[in-house]
Amino acid sequence: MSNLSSFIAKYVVGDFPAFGLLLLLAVMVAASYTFAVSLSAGSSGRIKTLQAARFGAYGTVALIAVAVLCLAYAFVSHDFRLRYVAHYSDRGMPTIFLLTALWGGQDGSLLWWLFLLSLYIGVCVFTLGKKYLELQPYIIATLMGIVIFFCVLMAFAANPFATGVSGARPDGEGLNPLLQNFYMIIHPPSLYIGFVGCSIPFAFCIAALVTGRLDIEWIQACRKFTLFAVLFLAIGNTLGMLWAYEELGWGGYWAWDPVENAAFMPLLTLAAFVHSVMIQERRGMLKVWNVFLICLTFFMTIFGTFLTRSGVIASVHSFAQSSIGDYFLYFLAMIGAFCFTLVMYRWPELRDLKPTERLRSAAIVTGWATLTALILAWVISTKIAGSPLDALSGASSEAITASTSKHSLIQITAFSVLAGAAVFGNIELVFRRMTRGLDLKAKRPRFESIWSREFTFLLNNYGLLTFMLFVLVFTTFPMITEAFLKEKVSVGPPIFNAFLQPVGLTVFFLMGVGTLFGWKKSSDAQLKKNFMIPVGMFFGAVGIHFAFGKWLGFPAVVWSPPLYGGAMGWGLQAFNAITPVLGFSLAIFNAAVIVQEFVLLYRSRLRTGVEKTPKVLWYMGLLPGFIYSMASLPASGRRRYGGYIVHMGIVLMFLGFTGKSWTIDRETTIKQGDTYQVERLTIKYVGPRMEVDNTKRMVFADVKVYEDGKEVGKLSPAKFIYKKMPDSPTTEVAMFHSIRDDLYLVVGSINPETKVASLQIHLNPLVGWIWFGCLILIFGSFVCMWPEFEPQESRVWQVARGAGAIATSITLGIILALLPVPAFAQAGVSQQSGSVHIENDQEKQVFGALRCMCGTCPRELLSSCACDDGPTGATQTRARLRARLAKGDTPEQIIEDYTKEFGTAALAIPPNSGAMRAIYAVPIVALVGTGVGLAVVLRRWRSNASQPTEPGDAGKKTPAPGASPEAKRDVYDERIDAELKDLDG
Amino acid sequence: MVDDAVRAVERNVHRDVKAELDERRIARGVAIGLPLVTVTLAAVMGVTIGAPMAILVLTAGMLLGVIGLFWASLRILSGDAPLSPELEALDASAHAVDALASRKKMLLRALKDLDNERALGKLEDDDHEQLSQTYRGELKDVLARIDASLEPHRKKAEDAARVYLASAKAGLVEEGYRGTPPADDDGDDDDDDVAVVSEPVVAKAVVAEKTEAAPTRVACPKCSTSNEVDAAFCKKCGATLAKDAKDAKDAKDAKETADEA
Repeated sequence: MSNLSSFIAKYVVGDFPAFGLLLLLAVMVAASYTFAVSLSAGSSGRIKTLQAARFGAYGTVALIAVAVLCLAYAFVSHDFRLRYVAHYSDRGMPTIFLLTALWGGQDGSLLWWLFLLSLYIGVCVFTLGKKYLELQPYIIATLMGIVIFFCVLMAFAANPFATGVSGARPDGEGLNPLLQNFYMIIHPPSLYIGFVGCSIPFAFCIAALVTGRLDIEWIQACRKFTLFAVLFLAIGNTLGMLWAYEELGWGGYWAWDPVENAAFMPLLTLAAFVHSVMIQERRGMLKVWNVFLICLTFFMTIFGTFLTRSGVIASVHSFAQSSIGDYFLYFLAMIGAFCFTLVMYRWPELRDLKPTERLRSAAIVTGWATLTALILAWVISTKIAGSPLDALSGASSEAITASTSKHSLIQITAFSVLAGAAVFGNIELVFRRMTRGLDLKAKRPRFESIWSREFTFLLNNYGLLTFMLFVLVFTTFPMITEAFLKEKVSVGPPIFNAFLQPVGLTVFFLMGVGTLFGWKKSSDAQLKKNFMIPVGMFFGAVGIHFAFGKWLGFPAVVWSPPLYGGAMGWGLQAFNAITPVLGFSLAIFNAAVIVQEFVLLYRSRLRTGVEKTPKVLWYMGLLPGFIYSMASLPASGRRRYGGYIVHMGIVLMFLGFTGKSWTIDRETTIKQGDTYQVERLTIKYVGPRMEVDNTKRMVFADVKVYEDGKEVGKLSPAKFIYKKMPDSPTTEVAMFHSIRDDLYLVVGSINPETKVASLQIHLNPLVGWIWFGCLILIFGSFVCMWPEFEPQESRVWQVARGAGAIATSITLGIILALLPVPAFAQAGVSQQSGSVHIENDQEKQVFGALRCMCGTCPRELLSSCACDDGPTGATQTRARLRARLAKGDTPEQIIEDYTKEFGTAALAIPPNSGAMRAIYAVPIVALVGTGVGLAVVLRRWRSNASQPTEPGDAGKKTPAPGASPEAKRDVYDERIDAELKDLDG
Repeated sequence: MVDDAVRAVERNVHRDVKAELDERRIARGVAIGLPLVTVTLAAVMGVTIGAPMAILVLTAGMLLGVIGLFWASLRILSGDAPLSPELEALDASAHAVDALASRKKMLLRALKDLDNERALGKLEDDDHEQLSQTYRGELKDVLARIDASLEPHRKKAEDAARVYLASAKAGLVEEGYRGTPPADDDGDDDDDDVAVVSEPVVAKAVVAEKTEAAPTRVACPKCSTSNEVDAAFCKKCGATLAKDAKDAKDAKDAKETADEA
């Protein structure tokens, strides 16, 4: 048998790298063929061609699987000719690790992207079956376009089958224990499921745009895929948090890292989409907006991959560029241009205008002319303003600040004037001229009332998108300043936290408010009734919090150092100080809203007699009855109430986030047998313990935890010293979880002679609620995604099929998400060991605002960086700054001196001056601008509501005054009643 | 001579049909057999030789699948391979954009929402009455327009149905067919609403209505159990059944309506 293997190794897979590349090229050809055939199917409308395209799609999917299998084979057979294999595996690794190494590095993870996409394509094409025959060709074509892009990327820029420069090695580099950074592993692949999932709704949207079938058909067709993508983006983000928390040892779970933000932004836009489509379903409104949201979501997923994979953002840290960045930029530009043109082309249909060729071309020409004019306006305004630093080389820092302020003021003014002129000119001169004589009066949608769910959904969209915009601007700000202002800055967590707390809490508040309103119209009396209990609970929670919070260790108001000086800094500081009480009370408010909704539903079902849950289920604890009741809802009701359950999960997660305000961080050096008191917990250090296995030495510090004198647990935080890397021990966190808080222990060092250990102790309140909230969220999504059935199916079969379908998809997804756990990350990732000690608020302010400039780490914050290389290492720098604080220097002074020493790049918070103000000015201006726009649009919709809608209908529909409802019932009423009965609740 | 030629043509046609059937059978066999064989072989190899071999076998099987799929795709594209009859029957162009149908769906959704909100106590009865009258009015208008657009098709379909029924069972046409418009009753996610009412569908609807007109079962107004038409009492709960079958049916409908609300 072994002869056979060696025969195969020698002849069959003789030139394996070349074969791999050939496969990638073959996928490209196959995808191109399918692309062409499906386009032809779309234009001819022939079923035969479509069937050929479907087979082509299946073939492409299978071919991608072949490529993945080939890479797996290379790993398993230790083909170290492949650079990728040599880099990420060695002969000693067990097979399962070898397989997970498939997507450990960049090149492999792109293949992983493609593989997941191919799975989605397979499922999508299969489920489409004989439905949506007009959309299908274009759906397949769009997906194939994405496949082609990734093939090009891999074949020409990041080939996983590339050979190493020095030829085959005897053994690979293998599992570098220092690179066992779960944070970087778990994040991308688990999120990829959500990420890649966004391609499917995008493909449906493009198909709808191309065919002009822009009513709710495409939205309903891709609803399951959209929900699945949202769910997995949420799960992926939470898993990322969980692993960051469990493995990294710095005591927190979210650091506003570009990788995290990239994953978070599509979740926000997709969540907005899930809400706004409901308005389109009911009103036929917001078509442009929904199309825009889906395109934006897809754009964000590609942009996120670009951010994290191309090294653009890392360039702020390491100044390294990767060639795949360019490919991504071209692809992004293509997506943008393509979507923009398509939307312009379909403008008449999207706006319910009469589609004529002249209107189409007018829309496209005006759109592109406006875009070009805006870019020109930017270029010209930059030229007008000139560079502020040209004339000022060697001037004082005040003069430079003053000059940059003036410069940015001139530039902004010039740009606003030019941009305004460009937009006005294009609309007036180009659009009006081209559409002269056409009837442009659209059938305007109507809004019965501002006090309706439709309106609050709009507000919610507005909030989510604002949130997204803040994250986007903050994340890309370093890139932008580097490109336009030639100045290196970085944006750290403090600025994210300060600005996003108000925005996040507003969105959170709107979530509850939106639920309280009904569709169409809510009368004052009803609103009062609905709001009464939740608002009462809210104020009750505020009162209780102020009365007992401090006593329980959760004070209602927590002050933190200000971000900036001045009024804005103070305002943000004040708001952030009341975040704890607001977060808690709003969580109570939202929970009350949701519970009230379920009670209302239960009552109305009892009243109409549809509630048939057996009493015994309620007596068995509420849950079985609740699940039965949910399962018996009609499909659209399930979506609605499943959505509320998802909201409940979010409420719990917010409660967990609020807990962050009360975190306690301590550090102590402790002798064997001594105890240390943290709040209500007593920690007793039992002593060190050492264990040895094949690869490493493990040094544990055994600790007992007591609460009120009773032992509640044993913890063993540890240092692992790998044989391969004796100089860099890894840190293993130990945790004691409870409903109230997590005790999070990290051992800094253990002296082998004196047995004295230095421990970092974090007490993180309410963190467990985040993970629990995510479970509830998954359950809610489960309810939403419950498949619809043929009525003739038997009940048992229905339940079995539904449970099977959902359980399989969720299990599969979670397995896919969790699989990479034993894999390992790319080189160049920092190892945060968490041995940072912060004593007081002043230190927190200084270390939180400054970055480590040692040059070896990727510029971590001083508050989290653990490197101690030479005199500029984080540990040494902290000691230096601490000494200055002790001498009585203010934090502001220290920060200023540090900036002078290392430049603005050393700041985690960009200076509040000159063009740097754009970091918050841009989102705030956008916030206000869109707010005004929203108000104008609403006014228009309101005024539409007061007029009769269409002249043609006017005569028919207004019933004569005084006519009784029975009198004017006709045959159509019967039909409507019948159809309403069939329509799921 | 002529007969021979005709027979030859018939033979050819017959052979073609047989070839098509064979091809379809082979395709189905490959679609099921190839994955099975591959996975089994890979499992055997994995156990006896090792993981690399198993992966190699899987790869080979997958590659064969790829070849098969593209072969199928190309043959269908070139017109050599037959399509399955149900695919042949699908005519993509019939699913044209129908603004009216989608508007109808939207209005129905709106009416349903109004009912739901009232049931939940979020909408006052007055408001509900007023709003649903507006939407109902609009919906009626849309329905009327849909009927108008269907009128010519229906006429054609009726003729076709009449011809069909006449040929199938002479004499049924006069008494059976009442000529009410066929209810377009799906109103949900399907895209086969109004525009796709092709002749066979209408014919089916006609037949269905015919059977509906003379019900074979009667539902008990109390427990909804299905009973014989001529039963005087319900076989399950013993309730008196309405004399007139139609009354019973109406009662059941009314109950259902109440349930759904």
